[in-house]
Amino acid sequence: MDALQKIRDEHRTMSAVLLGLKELARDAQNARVKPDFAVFRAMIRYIDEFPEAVHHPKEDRCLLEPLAVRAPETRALVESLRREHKKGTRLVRELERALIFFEDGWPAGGADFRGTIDAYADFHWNHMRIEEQQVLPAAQRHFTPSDWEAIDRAFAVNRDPLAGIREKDFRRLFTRIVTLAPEPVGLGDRWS
Amino acid sequence: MKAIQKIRDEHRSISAVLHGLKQLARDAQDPKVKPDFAVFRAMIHYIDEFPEKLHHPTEDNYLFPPIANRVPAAQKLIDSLRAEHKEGAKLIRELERALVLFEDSGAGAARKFVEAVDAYADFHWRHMRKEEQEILPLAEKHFSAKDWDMLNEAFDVNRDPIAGIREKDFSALFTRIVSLAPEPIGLGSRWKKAGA
Repeated sequence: MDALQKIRDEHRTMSAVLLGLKELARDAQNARVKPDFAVFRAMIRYIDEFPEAVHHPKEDRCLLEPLAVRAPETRALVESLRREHKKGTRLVRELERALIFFEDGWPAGGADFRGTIDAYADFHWNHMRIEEQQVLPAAQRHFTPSDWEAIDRAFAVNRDPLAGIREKDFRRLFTRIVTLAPEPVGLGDRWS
Repeated sequence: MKAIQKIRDEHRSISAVLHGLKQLARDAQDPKVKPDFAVFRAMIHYIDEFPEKLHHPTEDNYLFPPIANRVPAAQKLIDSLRAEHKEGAKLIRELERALVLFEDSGAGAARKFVEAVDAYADFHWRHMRKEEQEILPLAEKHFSAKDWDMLNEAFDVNRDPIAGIREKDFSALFTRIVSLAPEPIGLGSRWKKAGA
């Protein structure tokens, strides 16, 4: 059951980045202050690569798939969450597009950028909430010992051999975000 | 028929930017070179917005429908070109992603960036070639006077009141690309090499 705590922890980390991103996107609406776009790039890279390379593949394989087998009544829910993993990928691409347009056209493009971020953050929070409120409790009720072994093992291994990306790379990226982001989001200097 | 010339001209502008982008993405593979990412952003901004906001909608609305009406045999070709307009939008999102990851994570992601650039450029060249070699000759053969009027007008109005984008914004962007890009692509300074 360590895996469930790990999933919640990973949700908290993504949430923290989303919250910081929303806050800085709001600050960036002031056309007199040029934002430090490097922070936005690091944050968006995090919410792009971490879920896609590490978090979602493990959920798909070791949480959603076995749950649909053990509790067929969850099948519709499982399908909709899998679809959301794909939809999230598409929405992140829109975010990357809006970032490039904003940096290239600054101060134009700020409202689009912020709108895209708010839409993504709402979407992703809603997604994580459904997982925590419906999927994790269902797993606790229905998982067999071998299901637990498999998911605990998946979330303990800190490396996805397919993606060739290690979890510690993401810890380092998270640290860099905190260093770059201006207060109160992080420890960096205020934008001037 | 001046719209046909206009379509060819627009293809030439897109082509020029793609060509420069390919060249600079190759230059950026040298880990000693520090690329100026502002050039990449401006170029990708151009090849994303110009076709999507101005060029493709005009083709979809004023070039393809009369041909489909008059030459039923061309329907399959037109469907494939329309599908490519959508496919292109997806490919360019991948390009935008590759740029953001490259700029944030450095040399490790340079290869993926050049691959995404090459994939998009090849795709788009094939698409424009198909239009010029197969579609424009059909228009020249089968368009009525009224078809020409509408197509010419669509390219004149230039154009899209809904998107709120004017053609001159793109000329300005094109000029900015040329001033930012290092020679021989543009008039900007050469990228610095570490230790040089």
